Amino acid sequence: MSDFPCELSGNVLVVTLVGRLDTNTSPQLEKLLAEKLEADPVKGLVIDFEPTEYISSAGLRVLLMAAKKMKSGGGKLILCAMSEHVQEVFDIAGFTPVFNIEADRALAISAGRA
Amino acid sequence: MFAYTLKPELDKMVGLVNRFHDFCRAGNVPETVERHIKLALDELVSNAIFYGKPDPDSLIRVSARVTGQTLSLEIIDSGAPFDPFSRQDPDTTLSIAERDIGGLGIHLVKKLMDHTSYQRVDNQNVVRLSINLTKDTDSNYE
Repeated sequence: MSDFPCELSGNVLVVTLVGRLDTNTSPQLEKLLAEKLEADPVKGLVIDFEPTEYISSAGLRVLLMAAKKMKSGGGKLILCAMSEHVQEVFDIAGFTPVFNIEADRALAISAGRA
Repeated sequence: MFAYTLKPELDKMVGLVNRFHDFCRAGNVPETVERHIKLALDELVSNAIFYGKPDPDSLIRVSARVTGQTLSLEIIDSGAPFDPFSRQDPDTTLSIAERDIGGLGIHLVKKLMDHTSYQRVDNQNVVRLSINLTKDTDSNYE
């Protein structure tokens, strides 16, 4: 039900979240990010929510860790293309002001390069 | 009427969510409500498994029904007494560095649902939720 295709755009890694980010799928995303960032410490990490059905606290936890990891390495995490539902969850969690969020993928990639 | 039983194992929740999706499609439950409830199911069933540690041979029972404009959901497990709603809400104003994720899932459930309750009945945890099917997605939280 979930898939996380990755694409490298210059020094920015773009990971798309297809389907659900919940208790069962979040550990897969966590592992994927750890492997990718270990192999190639990119300057920017973009997470594209365009095809994301929903994100539970298990997914929010992985994003929080990714943000801390990118920040400690001098890079940044940028989230983009959130649906209203995902945006609502971020608002309630109080995550909206602490993350870099862009309207779409192109804007997020340019922000990741900057 | 939706009724589903699962063993207290995290990977069994995939089947629960898939079957709940079928129920929502058959009953024309609005997609936003469906997503809210799938999120709530993920938080509450994983909590029940994690904190209540039910007997591996026991079953968690999930049921849902639509009455008028309200969708009600019930989750029953035979784990140790555990009231998910008794925890203090997390501080959602801290910075990334200070942020701890504990309690965030239940905070989301309380804000996304219109009503939540917990009871200990016959040595079982009974969690009930309800949500208005016509709710304006912007009006339920501050």
